[in-house]
Amino acid sequence: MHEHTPPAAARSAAADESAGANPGPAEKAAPASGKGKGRKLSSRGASRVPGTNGRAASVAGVAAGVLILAAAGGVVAAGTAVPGPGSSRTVPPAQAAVPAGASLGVCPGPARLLEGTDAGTDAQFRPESATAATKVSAAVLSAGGVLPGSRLARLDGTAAVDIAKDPGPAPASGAPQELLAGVVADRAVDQVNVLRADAVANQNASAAGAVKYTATDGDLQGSAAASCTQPLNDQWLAGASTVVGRTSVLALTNASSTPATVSLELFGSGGQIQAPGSRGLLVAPGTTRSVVLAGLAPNEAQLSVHVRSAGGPVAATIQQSVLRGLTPGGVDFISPGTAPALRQVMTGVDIQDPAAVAALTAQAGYRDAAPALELTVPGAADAVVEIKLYGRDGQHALPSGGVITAKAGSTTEVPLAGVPAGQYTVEASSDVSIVAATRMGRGLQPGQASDVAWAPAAVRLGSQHVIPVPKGGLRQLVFGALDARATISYAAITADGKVRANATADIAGGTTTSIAVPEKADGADVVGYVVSASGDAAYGAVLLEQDGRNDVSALGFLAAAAGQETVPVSLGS
Amino acid sequence: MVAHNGSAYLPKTLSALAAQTRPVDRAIGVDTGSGDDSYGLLTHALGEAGVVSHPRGKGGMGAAVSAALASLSPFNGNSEEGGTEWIWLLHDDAAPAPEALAELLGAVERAPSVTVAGCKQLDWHSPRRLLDVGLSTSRWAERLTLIDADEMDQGQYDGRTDTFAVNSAGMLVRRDIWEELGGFDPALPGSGDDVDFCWRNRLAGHRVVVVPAARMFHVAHRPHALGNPSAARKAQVHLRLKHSPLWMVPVHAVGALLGSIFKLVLSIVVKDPGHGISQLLATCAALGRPGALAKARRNAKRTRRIRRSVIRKLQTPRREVWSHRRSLMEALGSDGSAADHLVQDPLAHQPTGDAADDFAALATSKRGWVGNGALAAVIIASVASLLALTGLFRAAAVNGGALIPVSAGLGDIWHNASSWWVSLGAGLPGHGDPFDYVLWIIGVFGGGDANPAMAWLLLLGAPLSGLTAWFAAGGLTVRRRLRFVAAVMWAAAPALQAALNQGRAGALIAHIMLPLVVLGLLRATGSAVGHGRFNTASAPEVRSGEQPPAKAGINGVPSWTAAAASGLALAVTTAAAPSLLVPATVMIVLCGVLLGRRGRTVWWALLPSAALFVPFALSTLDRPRALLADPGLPLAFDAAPLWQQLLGQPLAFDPARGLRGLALFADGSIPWSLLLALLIAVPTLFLAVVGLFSPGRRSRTASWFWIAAVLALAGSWLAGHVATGLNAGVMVTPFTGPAVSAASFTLLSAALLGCEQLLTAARRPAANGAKPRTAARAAVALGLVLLLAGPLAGMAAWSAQNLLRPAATAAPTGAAAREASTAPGPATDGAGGAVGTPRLVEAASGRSLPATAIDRGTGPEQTRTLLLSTGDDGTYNASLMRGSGTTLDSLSAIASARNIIGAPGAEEVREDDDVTAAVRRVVATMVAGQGVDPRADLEQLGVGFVVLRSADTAAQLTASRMDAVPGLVAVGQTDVGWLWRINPLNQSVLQAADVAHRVRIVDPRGAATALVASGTVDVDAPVPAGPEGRLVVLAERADPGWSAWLDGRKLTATTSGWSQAFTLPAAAGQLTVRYENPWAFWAAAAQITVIGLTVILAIPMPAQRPRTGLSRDEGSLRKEHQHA
Repeated sequence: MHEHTPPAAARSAAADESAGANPGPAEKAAPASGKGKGRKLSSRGASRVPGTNGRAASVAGVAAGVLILAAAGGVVAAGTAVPGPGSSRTVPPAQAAVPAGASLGVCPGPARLLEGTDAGTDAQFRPESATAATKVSAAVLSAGGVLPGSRLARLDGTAAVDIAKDPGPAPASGAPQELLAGVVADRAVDQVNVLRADAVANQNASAAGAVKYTATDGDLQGSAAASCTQPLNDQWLAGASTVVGRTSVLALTNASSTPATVSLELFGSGGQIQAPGSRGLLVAPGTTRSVVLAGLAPNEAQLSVHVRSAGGPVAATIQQSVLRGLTPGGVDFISPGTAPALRQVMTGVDIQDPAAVAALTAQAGYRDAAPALELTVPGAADAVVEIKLYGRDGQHALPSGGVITAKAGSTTEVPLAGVPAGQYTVEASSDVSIVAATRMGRGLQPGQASDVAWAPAAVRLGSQHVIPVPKGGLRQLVFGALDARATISYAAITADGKVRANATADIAGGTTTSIAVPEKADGADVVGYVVSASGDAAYGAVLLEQDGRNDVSALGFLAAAAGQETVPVSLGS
Repeated sequence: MVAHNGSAYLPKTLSALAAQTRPVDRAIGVDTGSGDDSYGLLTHALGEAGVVSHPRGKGGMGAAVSAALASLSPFNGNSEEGGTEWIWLLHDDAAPAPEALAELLGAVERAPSVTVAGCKQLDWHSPRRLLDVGLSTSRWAERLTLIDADEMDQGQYDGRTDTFAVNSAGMLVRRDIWEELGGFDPALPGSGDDVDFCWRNRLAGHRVVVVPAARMFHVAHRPHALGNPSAARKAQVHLRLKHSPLWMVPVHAVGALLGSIFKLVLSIVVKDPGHGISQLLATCAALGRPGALAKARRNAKRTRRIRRSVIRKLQTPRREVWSHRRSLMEALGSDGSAADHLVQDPLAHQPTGDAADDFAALATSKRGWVGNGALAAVIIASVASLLALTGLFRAAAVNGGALIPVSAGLGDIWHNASSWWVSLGAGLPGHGDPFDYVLWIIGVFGGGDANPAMAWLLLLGAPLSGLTAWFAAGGLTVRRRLRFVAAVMWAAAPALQAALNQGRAGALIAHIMLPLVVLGLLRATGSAVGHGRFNTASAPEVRSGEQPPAKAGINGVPSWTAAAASGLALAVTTAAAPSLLVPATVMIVLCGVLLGRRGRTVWWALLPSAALFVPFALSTLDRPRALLADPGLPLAFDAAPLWQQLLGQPLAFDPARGLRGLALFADGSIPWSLLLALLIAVPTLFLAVVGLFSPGRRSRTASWFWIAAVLALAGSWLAGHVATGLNAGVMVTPFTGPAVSAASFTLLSAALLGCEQLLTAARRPAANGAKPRTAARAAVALGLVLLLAGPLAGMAAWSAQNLLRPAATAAPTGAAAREASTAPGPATDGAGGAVGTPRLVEAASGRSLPATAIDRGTGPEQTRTLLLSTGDDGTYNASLMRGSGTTLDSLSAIASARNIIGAPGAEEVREDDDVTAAVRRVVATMVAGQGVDPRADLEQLGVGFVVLRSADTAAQLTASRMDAVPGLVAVGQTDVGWLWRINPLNQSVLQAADVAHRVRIVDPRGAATALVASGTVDVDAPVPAGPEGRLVVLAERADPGWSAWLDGRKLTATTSGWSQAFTLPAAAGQLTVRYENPWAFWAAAAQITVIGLTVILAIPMPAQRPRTGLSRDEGSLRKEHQHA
């Protein structure tokens, strides 16, 4: 403040500054600091320069200061009162439509004996079957009035059956078209087949296939059925057994064009089994590789397999067969169930008379002829599992009480015997994720050929499931509803490619309903159904039995073809 | 006699006219619209009838004379056969000696061929000083007198008769010649008209003589004279063009322009750009009137009788001109008048440093080491910074928040900075961000690698801020205590801590540079205080009336160097924080307009910023919001309301909350957040108000600071309405930090002034007695403690918060930290958060992609990598990365703003274009694992690798699904995540090992048949022969700027989907592809010129007078000499 500026310099400098300091209203407030020569007045701001105008100048200075302060306060107050629209706004990520790919279903090949099985000479006891037949049924639904290009072919693409030709460009979306179906009815196959249905109008095709194996002689007597499953990179198969007389063959099929490196995690009743050969199994594109599970995990009564594939996805099925001494104990395909979840539901579980079962299982070697729930806890924490059985007339309590603790990292078998005979829906709910499958047997006379079947954990019913129903025998659609009422509507698909009129079934909560599949509808063979569900959670399965034989098989429903799936994708830089 | 505002000289001139030994026959006066009483004086002396009033307008003196002659004494050619009529031209400021007219007439009578005669010009005030004895010109038509500085009249030129030209003051012209030649050239109103007239007279075959015996006493340096250097330059250029052959005119025009540009450069080198600029403008003005030139040339041609070359011999040779100028410069240089004057004065034995006499400066320097305060502040800040930013010490790179690693090579950074093609994702047209140049400079400081340098910059952010604030405070106060306080306050500013914790490099650099900008502007306007002997306040022995020591930058002397330095600092600041550009520009324009003469240098401060931003702005005319966008990743934040910004807090806090992360100050009844914020800011605000109301001119400086603060806050509020960046689901406005920094620093500056005022007030009553003195001292000490308490508490809180942060946030490194930042993080700590922000920056490896991908990405393949990550709620985030991954320098404000549309405050995200849709589709295809082949899109995008960040189990599920996607070959898990390689689609031609290239050749069916090596933007590679109708396709957005040549033949541009393509003939050849922008060359040239000149101007150099003279011609040298 003690600057000593010569008057002239100070005058000009101060005048300049005062003009700068008072833009706008300040100039009006201090008329002395106007334009031109009149600015001299404010030049006396320097306190040490005596002058008559010093007072006026300091008043002007104070006025300017007050104005600036007022302006600052005004700006701050106004800015605070009228805040901006928000410095960060969250932008919902755009939904990117997933292009629909072809629906693939890999249908397991026929059940086969292990190589090296002695070919017996006695015709009555020879292991091979003369009557074995493996047939594939498949159905493809139309979308928008056209059938998607679809075919059933061997892995290498040969022996293809075209279900429908590629319709070309997507049809104009107009009025809802009549539902059509492309059908493969009971085509005999001798190896793994792939059902492929291309997307139409960027919609996944609704297609499903099923394999049914039957044999009335040989070691692999009985029936086995499996859906043609979609190849996956991660799947669980539960319920295998490698004890004496039980044969488990895991078939890994790579239907993609990418090599698949498969790693198997094996869970036994004593925990996870470290098997040297279970990692890095290479499955070349277009091939099937069979793994005898007994070689990896011998003597396991309850074995679950976690199949993980890097590279191409694989379809995995276990061909499980039982031979009690010389008595065939049945054969089935164990299909992968749903991924580990807190609740697993299996339906279509056919349980025989409790007393007879108890008598049978008392026999040596027949312990596994009883129905049982196979639980696997993949995680590190023990699971407390509550098991409920819903029969035709409601829930039935298990003799064991229904609540068990399953050890972490291992498999647990829960016997389901003790409830009245009938078809049941099994619900297992847990506090940690579990994997489940249910085994059922058929045949109560020891020494007589019996059969066994596995019901994998089922998907919750949605809309438009295609359910192929193999020909022959007793065929039933079994539906279970858990908590509340569900309505199932089903329409038969006939061999002539028509979808017949809808029928509906109302299922009360906590019950299981079965619908017998007629041989013919409107004069044409019924080869499948289109099933939709509404209401509370409902599950379904196809139960296949044979009059006069002990054959039993269960087919799980495939997940319904999703509509246009979207994925939220945000783009960064 | 021509008069204009000459009342100071007219009486003497008129009496001299009356006292002529040979009286004039008739005197005619012309008044050219004078503002004073010149007209009255003329009429009084010459009578009403003899005076004409000629409005001052075009034509200057010549027009005035012609008009007067025409109205009062029209020329009637042959009326008087016997006598010849002569005109004697007189200026109002030139008094002839009594015998002047007689001598002139004598001379013309003796030699009839003489038609123009002139006088010897002597100084009005000192009659023995020579001004000129006849005039000459150089070859370049420069008006020369060839009289040395301070040359005395000792009759040494009395022998001269014939000269090239004579001064118009006292010029005796034969009337018929005057009429024939058409008088003076109206295009030359001030300087050079006499030379031109005599030149034409010579060309007409007549003689021009100077009559040394006829003396004329001329005012040498009249204020507001027409004959200033720029008029002289204008006249010189005009004359050069007028008197040269027609074919030489363009040559001379270009020569004059180049000469002026050279002079401008020279003047910048010698820190005198004002002169250079005015000369350049004068040249342009002279070149810019071809009409007047044509008229003048026509007139000259009409009267020309002899060849031009004859006259050339009369012009002064170049050698002589140069030796003369050298002697003038020496005269200027030896001028030690001011210093000598002081040395001779026994009372003030002080050198002024005016002549930069180094020995004198050394001998009398009273300034010891003053940097203790700076050192202490730096140490305090370093400790706090090291504690708060643990882990960054010697880190290879830093990642997190808005920060991602920088390109490893300086060349890459420079390329990204200067390229007109944004190499980000699928590319888009646009100039690189100005901030990239700053990164390049950081890289230079880092010895070629910007990544460790960035870590160091973060660590040193607080100490550097303290240091710059300490320097800037030196421009406001000489008290070391205050400088120390300012340094600590600035190093502890909440805006700095927010910038550091969130990795906002731009805001950090702006915070460091702002004090330098303010200091530069202070000095540029001459408002800084001087230190030591330059401090007028502390040198009471300087007597009143004595000239204060003049030094550029202080005491009202503007400084070009400071303006240039401030411009460079401002360029760095605005490049780092573009939202400051508008407030800073407004502020500087206000300074330049309202400060008058002192503000003339500040204009230069705008030039570097303009040079940086103009090319950038040119490329983003369609989305100007990019001009406001912060550098770095757009990072969500919660802007503080304006009252909190006034307190220096850029991020909103809830006043009632405790201090985040500190258990001792947890939420409770005491509003710790508010207390801390107030403790930091209130003392400063109070002092700033004091500064505003302190008496004296310093309060005006304080007013400027307040205005700047209000501008910054208003700018911050306005900018808060414009969304500028979009990244991964969050749209952000410019960060408030830089504006808060600007407001805080200007208020801190005002506070320094106020504090100084209070300290002075405290010292004043000291003389009265010991008691009040003690009280005052105690008060001062208390005040200082209060001032320091806030910043120190703030620093401590910052360090403690960062040290004690929960392990969960400390754990994620590298990719994960970035993940956390890309998610809308602050939303969790949203509007009601406590003071402080979580630390997001972490040391990282500097690599964001697996090595394989980097290898192919930076090689001739230029393969891109699609980087996926899973967010919570099932969102996938995808980034299409080039080279070694997206780097800080490759980020582009243009790219980040391009998808935002809508009015400010109501912005929306634009519909996806083809490229964005393709990326989304590809991601959806891959993560859904539907078995759909994504390779068509991937190939078009140039993607050869896909990386999925391994964050959690959700990512693992996705990874196993992606394994199944056709064409994706799992490579395995890398340190970044799962890596997939894309198999080429057209396997029949391309090998399975081939990876997607940026440039590929596709056959007419669209299948890739060959891959072409390329650089990051340009391509120069051989292509094989192939089928007819094939295309070469770039994995870049189509843009008209792309052009391609095959063996020098230009290819037809076309598109392939959204990508740029060219039709390729069947023949093999060398393919060249370039991206060109018509502005590129000119913008680069302008940038280099402006920045280069500014750097040269900003380099401090002792301003020696002789150097200053380097760029000057004779006229201005003489003037300069006179002022010295």
